Amino acid sequence: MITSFSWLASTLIAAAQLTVSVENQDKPVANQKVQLVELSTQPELLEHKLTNSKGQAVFRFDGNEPKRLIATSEFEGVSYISEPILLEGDENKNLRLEVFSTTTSKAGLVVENLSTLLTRQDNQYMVSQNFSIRNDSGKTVVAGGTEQEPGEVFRFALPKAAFNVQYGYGFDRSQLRFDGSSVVYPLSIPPGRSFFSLIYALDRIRFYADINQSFSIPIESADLGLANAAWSVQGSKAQPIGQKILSDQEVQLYRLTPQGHRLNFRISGLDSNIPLSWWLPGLIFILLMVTSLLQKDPGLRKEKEEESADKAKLLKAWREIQLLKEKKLISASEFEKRQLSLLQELEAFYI
Amino acid sequence: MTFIFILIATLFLGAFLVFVLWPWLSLKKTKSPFAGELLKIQACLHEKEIVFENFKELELDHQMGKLDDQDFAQLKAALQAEAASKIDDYDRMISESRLVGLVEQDVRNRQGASS
Repeated sequence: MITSFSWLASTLIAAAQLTVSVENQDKPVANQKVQLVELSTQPELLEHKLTNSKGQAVFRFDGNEPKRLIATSEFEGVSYISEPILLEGDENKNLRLEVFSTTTSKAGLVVENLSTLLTRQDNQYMVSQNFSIRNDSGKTVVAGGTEQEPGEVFRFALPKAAFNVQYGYGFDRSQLRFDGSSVVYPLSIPPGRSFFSLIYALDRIRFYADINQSFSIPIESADLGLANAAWSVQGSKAQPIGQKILSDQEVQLYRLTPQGHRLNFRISGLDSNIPLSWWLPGLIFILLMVTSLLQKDPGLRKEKEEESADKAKLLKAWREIQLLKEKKLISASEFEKRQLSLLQELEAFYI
Repeated sequence: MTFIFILIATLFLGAFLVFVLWPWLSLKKTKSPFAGELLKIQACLHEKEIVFENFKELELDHQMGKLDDQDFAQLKAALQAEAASKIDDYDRMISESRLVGLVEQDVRNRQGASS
């Protein structure tokens, strides 16, 4: 009778089941709290359960409504999230949630595929960077440290000329710390690859841009994209590897060879855009000089005309006294006095 | 870029200094090249006038009986020789003067242009 009732109930009310298996290095983790979150426009925490001795937490749902779910669990202070899963009708599904032991050793971390793209936007150059950090240690790398002296997972320094830095994928701006010119990343990095992206601007006041970057962990590989064929790259053993169309723009690609923890190269052939505030004082000065010269010119001409008229008068007087002397109308003494006086006045016109 | 900026700034500063100091520099250049010869002509003329003044005074003294004929004749001859020397000096300075040469040249040019 009871068996028949149970069969009837299970056929009348459809029930779905999700089994979440929590594993650490392929071994089940018992007594681990697992939370189930339904992904919708407003993610909702459905319920939480502890795993059994097989490392499993079993969740059952009534009704036929499809659900998009993820499982989360905190292990050794680090939260882990499973892949999302779609549960429909009376399905029974299994979901694996992998957790890892933690370590503060950064020995297994490397930066790979540090990809830099330089483009021009109005009065500045934009540098977009994407990179992944590969964790080969098999453990989640955590910052460690204390509240007074917080630890770090990795740190990096951007070029000195960088400004308007926007931290994108992989970064939590509120969690980042800034130590001098370095950006400190304090969050955990699980085994595998973690992806990061950021964008910063460089002023267009130079004909070149020095991209000097350093990481606290080794850089394994790097490449560069330049959005202008006239630009060239020096340093980091740059090797051209072809072109690529990116947003209707042909990008020249280069493979770079980092030097350990550093990546230093120079992009030259850039067109400079020195701000008006730099040029303005010089332009005003030139304008003042030209204006003053133009204003001086008519005055000079007038002065020269007057000078010419004065000189003509004096030369005429010179000729007159010679005629007076020849006709003996003035004495030799008078002639000499007048001659000397005229010479003294004419002197100015022959300097 | 910093080098270019410093270069441009230096050029501007140089241009500014030339612009400001130009009148002073050009004033130094305007010293007359004829000042020496004019001063010599003026001095010669002055000395000649003094000789003529002395000659007039000599004649006056003789007329007033302050000098006898013999002394008068002797001094008159000396002054005449001095006056002749000064006149020669003056004529030589005028003929050798570069300024007079330039003035004469201008006068001839203007006469040629007007005729």
